[in-house]
Order: sequence, then structure tokens, then C-alpha cells
Amino acid sequence: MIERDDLDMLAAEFVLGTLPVEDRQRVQRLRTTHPELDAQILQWESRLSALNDEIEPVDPAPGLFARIERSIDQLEQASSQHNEVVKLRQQVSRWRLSTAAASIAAILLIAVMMLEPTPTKSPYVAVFQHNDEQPAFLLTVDLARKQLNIQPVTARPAGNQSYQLWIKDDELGPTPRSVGVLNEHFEVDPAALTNYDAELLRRATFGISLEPRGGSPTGQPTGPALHGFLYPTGEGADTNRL
Amino acid sequence: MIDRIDDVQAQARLNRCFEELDKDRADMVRLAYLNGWTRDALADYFEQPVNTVKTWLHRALKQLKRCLDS
Repeated sequence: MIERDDLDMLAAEFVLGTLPVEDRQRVQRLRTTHPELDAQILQWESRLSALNDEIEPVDPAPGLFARIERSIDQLEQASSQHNEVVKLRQQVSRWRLSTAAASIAAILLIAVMMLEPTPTKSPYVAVFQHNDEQPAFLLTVDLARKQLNIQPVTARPAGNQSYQLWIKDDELGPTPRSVGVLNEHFEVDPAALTNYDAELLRRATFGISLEPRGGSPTGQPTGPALHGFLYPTGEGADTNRL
Repeated sequence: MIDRIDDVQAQARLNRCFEELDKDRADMVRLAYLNGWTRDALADYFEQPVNTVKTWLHRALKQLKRCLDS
């Protein structure tokens, strides 16, 4: 039995954003069935909202929203079902938190999500973030056709360097394997994953590193450390990994 | 206009309540809320165990609540 006081602190830390990921997700679920908890959360939001006035508004980079919209449109076209993108939108806060909790000083962070309960037909989406904040790249993998598609969101051209996409799975050995080097338009061979089976792709970790022009000279990422995580987010996902 | 005045009053009230907190604890709440710091990040920065951070946060939040609701 949770004491009322404890519940209130749960609500307070939920609003503050300091709950561990699992607790946060639990509270997110509980508030839909516990009006008292929901009311406490709303009260804390109201109490702390004046803190927001301390933040100076900053204009986003020109064209940022257009790029995000474009990426989502492309995702929508890539998806066989509209609701997958809706799910993606709903998952945004979840992967942000998950990656924030799991990041170890990574400059590029990766979350991989499976968007459909019928995994063999559905695309994966990987979101590559800069500094926990804005997605740098979106990667979709259509498992049925083994086609991959990568789109920059906030990623900038790397000048004299190249972005390189990696895949890692225990079955492939202890080190990441290169999927390909992104060209200047941030494209990579869409068929680069054809030789991997769907089961492996479903559990694999993807990463993007910044490498010398043309790709890593060593065959291993030489840029910033990369971490990736697999998040099943289809129906029933809440009871599994999340 | 009325809304704006309410905002200013709410902010002044919250600031007064923050001033009643120990500086470290006020900073902790601000860093968490405004900068998105996790308990772990706060523990590193303030060189305290995570459980202490949790206790400090709870005390600060309870104190803020008492102050704001009074």
C-alpha cells in the first residue's frame, strides 16, 4: 500500500523529471486509472510551472520543424500503416527518457524501436540523438524487405568527415560491423542489410559514428562511443521491456 | 494582461519559497526541472549518494509545497 505522502512525492518527482525510467513509466500508466495520482501530478505541474518563466525563449534553428515534418512524412510513406507513425509520436518521450538513463557520455545516442506487434512485416525505427535532445537521424528498417532508409533531422553535414552506420549483435562477434558510410546526402545503400536475417535485425543495436572522410580506417568506430537499445513498443510492450 | 500579472505573481511567490530552501537543495530542484538532470547526474554533481539526493529532493519538494500552499 502506497502512503498518500509517498504518492505525492511520486507525483512531484514525476513532474520534476527525476524518477528512474521504470518508475516514470509506471506512474504514466497508473495516472490513467488513479484520479488521485493524476490530480497530484497536475497540482505539481501547476506549482512548478512558474519556473518555466526563468527560461529565456530560444528560437529553433530555421527549417528545423520543416525537416522534422519532412522526416515524419517520409516515415509515413515508408510505413504500411499510418498508425505506426502515430505510435512513434507517442513514444518520443519514452525513448528520450530511456536513452537519457542509459547514456554513458555518448555524443550520439541511439534508440531502436519496433513499432508493430507483427514484427516480421513492420519497420524498425532508430532515432539517433544529439545530446539527449533533438533527433539527429531517423533510421527505418523494413524487416520484410530488409530495406533501410536513413533521414537526417538535425544532423549537419560533417565537413571533411563522414557519418558511418554500424550494426552490433552478439551473433556478429564482439565488435560492431559496418553497414555503410553515409554519402553527402546522408544516404546509404538501402539494401545494405539484405544479408542479415530479420530475427537478428530485430534485436541488433545500430549506431552512427563520425569518422574520417570515406569511413573508419580501422573497420571499427573511431569516433564517439555509441550505444543502442532495442525497444519493443507494439501492443503488450509495456509488460515486456518497458 | 490578467494572465500575465498572475504569472508574475506566481513566479514571485515561487521565488520566495525557493529562497527559504538551502541553496544546494534549491539548485537541485532547478537543475532537475529546468535542465532535466537525473538523480544520478545530481548525485555526481553534488557528490552525494543517490539516496541522499532523493531525500534532499523530497524534503525540498515538501518544503516548497508547504510554502506554496500556505
